[in-house]
Amino acid sequence: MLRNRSLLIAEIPHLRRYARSLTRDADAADDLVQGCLERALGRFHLWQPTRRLRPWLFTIMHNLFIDTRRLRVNRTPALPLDEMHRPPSQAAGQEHHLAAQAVLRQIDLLPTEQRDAVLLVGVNELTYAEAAKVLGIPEGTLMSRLHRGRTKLREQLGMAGKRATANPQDAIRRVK
Amino acid sequence: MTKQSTTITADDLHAYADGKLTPMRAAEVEAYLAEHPAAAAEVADYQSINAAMRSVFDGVLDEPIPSAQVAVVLDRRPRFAVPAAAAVAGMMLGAGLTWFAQFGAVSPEGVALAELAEKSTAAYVVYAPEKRHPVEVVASESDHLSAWLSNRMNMSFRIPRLGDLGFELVGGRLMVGDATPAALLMYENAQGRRLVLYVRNDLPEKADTAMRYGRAQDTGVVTWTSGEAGYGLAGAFSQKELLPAAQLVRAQLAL
Repeated sequence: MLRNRSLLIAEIPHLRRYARSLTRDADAADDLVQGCLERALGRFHLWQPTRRLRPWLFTIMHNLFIDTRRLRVNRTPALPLDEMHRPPSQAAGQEHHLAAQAVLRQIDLLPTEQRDAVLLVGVNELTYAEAAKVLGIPEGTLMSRLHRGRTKLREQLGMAGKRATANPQDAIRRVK
Repeated sequence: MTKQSTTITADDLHAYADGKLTPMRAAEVEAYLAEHPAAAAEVADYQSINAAMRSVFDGVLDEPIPSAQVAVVLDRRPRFAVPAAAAVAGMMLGAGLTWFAQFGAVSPEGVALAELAEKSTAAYVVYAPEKRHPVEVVASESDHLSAWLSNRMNMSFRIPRLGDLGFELVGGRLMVGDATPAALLMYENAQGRRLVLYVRNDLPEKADTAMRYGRAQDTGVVTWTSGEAGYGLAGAFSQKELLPAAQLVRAQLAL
């Protein structure tokens, strides 16, 4: 059990990252992680050691998050809006920050199903099969949500068709 | 490369962007992208979307884990039934978390060392202030003490001598362990300052670790493990004072 507990502790940073991406609020994210850990401990006997621990924990957390999301329908995630509308004359780091926040903002405008897929796959190191399991959908469904979500994002971000100058990724890398 | 496998689907583009393909399949997609700029642009966009998200969230991975979350996992609750336990236990809870943070308890060894640190300091805090009953068996019966502890802990237990550093044995007592009982030895110097050596012989996993020093409030502790045995030397001493004593103990125990 000591070993299991240390395995659980080792997963906490990943749980916190996923939670942060879901809630966008540090306190809410840590509450979510806490709830997830409590639930996981309560049903640890159900975890099969042959399976990876992380997807199992993510599934618990995702379900927990859905439960709380239902309670606050239509409340958009708390984003630092003020930061996003500053004039683009700031330092490179700031510019990069704005770019990333703008991407997040567009992700949050996606239909919930697509948002979940884009965030889960993009931020966490899971296989597609594992990610599908976390979301409780078949892998094919995950792929089509991912595709629709990302295609929409490209449109919303004005990426599609503007490749000549393009490469926001370079911009992102450059300032890292 | 077979013709069949060179059919590149939308799924392949996502999988390539997400780094999910085998090297062989990735090479096929790369060859395809070289000839299809629109697809290459798509892939680059997917990657930059991922990079944007990760630039915001990856920082969380390097943040220290909140102690409340570690506490949930470890299910920390007061475990001793000694007088004034409430106050002591409250302090222990805080101290336990301190250990887990200090010892980077993400590996089984780190957890074992942190637990040793916690139990050793708990033993120190509870028993070192005792004037009348600091130990169950006094130093004058050290042969009996040694035999008794060896027997109960299922190990050959030789009582280390710290006289060279000015510490004389006060005595010892049995402590609650997990699988087998643990032991506590107490030492005292001429100024009446005390040191406790906490010993357990029921670690869930065998390991030989280096000595680790940590402290919580006034209490310093050095812990290490050797096989199934774990040791913690605790007292209100600095690292400089505590480490030589721990080395002396460890050397004698290894004989």
